[in-house]
Amino acid sequence: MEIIAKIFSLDLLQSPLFLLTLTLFIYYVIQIIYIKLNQFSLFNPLLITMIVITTILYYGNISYEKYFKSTELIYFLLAPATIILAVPLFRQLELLQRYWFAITCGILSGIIAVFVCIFAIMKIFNTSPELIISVLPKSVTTPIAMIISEMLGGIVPLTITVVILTGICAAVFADVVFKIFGIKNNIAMGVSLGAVAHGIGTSQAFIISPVAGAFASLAMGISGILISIITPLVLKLFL
Amino acid sequence: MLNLVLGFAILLLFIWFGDVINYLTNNALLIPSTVIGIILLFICLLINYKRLQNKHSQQEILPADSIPNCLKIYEQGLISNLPLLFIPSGVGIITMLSMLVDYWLFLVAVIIGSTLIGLIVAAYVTQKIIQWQEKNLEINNGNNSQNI
Repeated sequence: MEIIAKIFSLDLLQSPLFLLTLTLFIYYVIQIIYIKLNQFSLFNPLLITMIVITTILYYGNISYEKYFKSTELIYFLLAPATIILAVPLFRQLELLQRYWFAITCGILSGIIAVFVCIFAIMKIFNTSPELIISVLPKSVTTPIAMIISEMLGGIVPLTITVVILTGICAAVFADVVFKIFGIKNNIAMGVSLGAVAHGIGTSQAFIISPVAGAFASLAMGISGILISIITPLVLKLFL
Repeated sequence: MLNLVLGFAILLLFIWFGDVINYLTNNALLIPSTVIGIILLFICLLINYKRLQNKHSQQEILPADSIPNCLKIYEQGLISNLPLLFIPSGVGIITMLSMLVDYWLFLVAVIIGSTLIGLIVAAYVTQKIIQWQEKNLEINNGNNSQNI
């Protein structure tokens, strides 16, 4: 680990350009390994890349602010990438018209289940209000989660962390969980991944199938809106 | 290759439309600009589809055919590399390491518990309703149900 510290003490290796290039190459290599491993769920590319880069930043003494500035270009692409989800969604126009009721019920039940679970665990662990507030928006896409958390007095960086971990948890365990509980329908898989695990869940849904991905993006959007509205109300009632 | 420019410009334009609406309504809708943008883009794709249907009323046109090429070229690239785009925010966990260690049991319980339960419930409800819907259709029409 001291090797990493020594290597990265060179200014050149802390330059924004290098950090960005490094990120891309690491992601590329890990994706190749992931494919070679037949897409083994525990070796989730996002998770592994995050771990590798976090390790490098930690032992190389590179500040997160520096790293984020270097990779801002990638971060910026999230917005157009989200918008273009309208296209695969549109491809499923017929299925959308046919199953809108099932989809709505699925999203609602998923959100309720998540909230009930969080409150149950709160009772068991007897956690502080700020922790609960920080954790409640966990199923929503990061920007919305940040806004909700801030509005209601949560710890924003913690919320972001929980949101990302939620996404990764869903991406890693979805296949196994679906198999155990006999979920075969692509629409169902997509809806649950989108509603419960937002963007990262949607990304995983696309790996399953374009249909799943399309409905995941739909569920992500709808659940985002619903959770924004429900969370303040729920808090008023229960805290 | 000009399609590359047009496509990206359109994507950014719709994000901006979302910003405009949020600005005009003073964020009252509680919907982020990107989501508004998706809705608007979807509506535009729909309008475009209807327009093409009317124009070529003799042929059968699928929704997928009506999607402009400039958008199609971005679909694969952006969506298949979605995990990459989450890395900058994801690595942000490094700033929360001490807190993660302190509250690890609670966080593990909440994240894994609520996520998995949410997945199961949402997927199960959706699948059950779809199956029930298809069964009803089968009874009514005597057709084969669609297997998706």
